[in-house]
Amino acid sequence: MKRPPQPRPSSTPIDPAFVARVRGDLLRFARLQLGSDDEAEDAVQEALAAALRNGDQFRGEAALKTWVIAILKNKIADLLRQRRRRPLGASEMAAEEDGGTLPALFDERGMWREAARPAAWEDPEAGLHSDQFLAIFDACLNRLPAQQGQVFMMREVVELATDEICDELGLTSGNIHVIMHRARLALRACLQHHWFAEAVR
Amino acid sequence: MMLNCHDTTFLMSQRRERDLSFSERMKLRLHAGMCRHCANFERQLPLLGEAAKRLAEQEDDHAV
Repeated sequence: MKRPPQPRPSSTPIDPAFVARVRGDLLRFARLQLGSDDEAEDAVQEALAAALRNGDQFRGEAALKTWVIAILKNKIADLLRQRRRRPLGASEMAAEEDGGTLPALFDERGMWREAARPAAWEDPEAGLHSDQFLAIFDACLNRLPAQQGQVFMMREVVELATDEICDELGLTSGNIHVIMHRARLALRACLQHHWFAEAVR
Repeated sequence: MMLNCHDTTFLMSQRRERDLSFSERMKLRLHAGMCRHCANFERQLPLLGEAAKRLAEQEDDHAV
């Protein structure tokens, strides 16, 4: 059995309870960024191992925690960079699935296409009290790709925060922002087309 | 740098989920001040959430 060459220097040994506590925080953080439990678990494990190798240089748990988080952020940045070079995973794919409607709304410079320009809506509030309006909105919602509709409802009706939706669906907050943007663009366009543009009402 | 309409609507949408940075807010205002289409988009965003809530309430009523 190989023994460490030197006993630990006199600074405080690392308390296992502290590691367990920090581990939970780190996992939550990593999962949020990576949207994958396995990758998060691995990243945290490696970051902790790396930090503990040099842990005796740190006075106090706060300094050690800062150090582990810095290592973890680096690992996550590496993983995200690698991921960009790889084909998309399932959850990212889901966020991409409706990319096809964007070219219909914006031209190659990212400006509104003429037919898609948001017009001023007359008395939009009145729609909220109209069963007919809500039926059209319902139909517009049902037309969204399944995940877009799900995320939109979790956010706007259940009023979950972005990170709660991330935890629930294993998505990153970046995914959520993209999904919500697309859902809102599609819903707005659908309402304009099927409700507000109907000539006389 | 000037944002295009796609980026501007993306920030307008994200603003309902997170706080925008100072520079993001400036760029957004700069664009929306000149582009009435994006200004319309921004004005209409809250209605989408309200309509979804109304719809959910209505479905609850029917379920009872």
